Amino acid sequence: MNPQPRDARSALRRRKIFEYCAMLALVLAMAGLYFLGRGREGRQEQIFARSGLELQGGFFASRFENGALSFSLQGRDFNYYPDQGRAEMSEPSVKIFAPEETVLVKGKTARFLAKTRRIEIEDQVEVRVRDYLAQTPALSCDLDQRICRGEKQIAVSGRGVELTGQGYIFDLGKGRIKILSGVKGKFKQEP
Amino acid sequence: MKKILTVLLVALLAPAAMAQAGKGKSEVAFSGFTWAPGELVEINADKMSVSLSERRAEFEGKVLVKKGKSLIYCDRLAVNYLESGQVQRLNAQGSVKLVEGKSFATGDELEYLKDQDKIWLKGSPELASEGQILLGELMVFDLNHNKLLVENPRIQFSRNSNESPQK
Repeated sequence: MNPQPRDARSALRRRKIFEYCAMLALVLAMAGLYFLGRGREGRQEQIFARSGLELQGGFFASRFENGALSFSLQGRDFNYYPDQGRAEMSEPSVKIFAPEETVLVKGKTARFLAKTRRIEIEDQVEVRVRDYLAQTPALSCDLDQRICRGEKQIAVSGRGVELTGQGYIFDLGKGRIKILSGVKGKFKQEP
Repeated sequence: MKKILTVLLVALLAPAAMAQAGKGKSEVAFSGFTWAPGELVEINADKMSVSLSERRAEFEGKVLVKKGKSLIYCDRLAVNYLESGQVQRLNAQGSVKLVEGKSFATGDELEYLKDQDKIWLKGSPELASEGQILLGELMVFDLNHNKLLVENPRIQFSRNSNESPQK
């Protein structure tokens, strides 16, 4: 019996080692891709949910629902406080896309409350819908329901129409405003 | 069979109308309700709801409409208006009272259509002016033609014509 030459045995061993290493590398690569994919899926939520975030000099965020743009949010500065579950913004501008209306809400400052998913906008708040402009000192919006509320004064003006009062519910999706007390309305007749 | 009385205000409410007109020309009651160009219609109420797409505003609770020389008091008021703000239709319901000078009318429902320039007063309407009270089932103030139409009219006269009847 002829023993295999030493070089041939050595070559066989190297080949097997190479095969094992290749398989191991393949398994590791697949595992790596799997965990990388998972990491990307949850990336935005993780950043928003676990770590503070500070953006200065302009930010833009948007949300899609069923393939359609639901709302967009932009402003100057953005600070997220994870321990309090809220974000603060300056000069916020929220565009809400409802089936029949596109509504623009602006103010000087805003807070987003992650728990209730409400955005509270304050100081010189303006709501523009169709030809109307609504002005109020403060407003709280449920972005999912597209309903805004406030307890303070509101003044709604359009072409030839002025409505004022205190306390309101603004259904942005339906383009309907309810003023809850002290209503004064003016309708100017055509010249 | 329903009786219908068409009244040129000279016949029924002539004294009041003449006094209001002040020019020797009789005018139908609430002629001040006719629109003046650029005039403001002011409405006060406890609360309201407006549909921006339908251009329809609904006022509720202690509603007061100030329009020219006329005032309307009611519990609920619906206003339909054009894009320009021009009021096209008013519908007042619940304890309706329309006041102009010393004349006033009451009923359950009032409807005004600008394109017809008419006021319909329904629900036991009463018109009082200068000691005279006109009652009926329906009153239509035709502001454009200076006429008042009353269904099933009844007239009451106060003993002292200087006393304005109070409701």
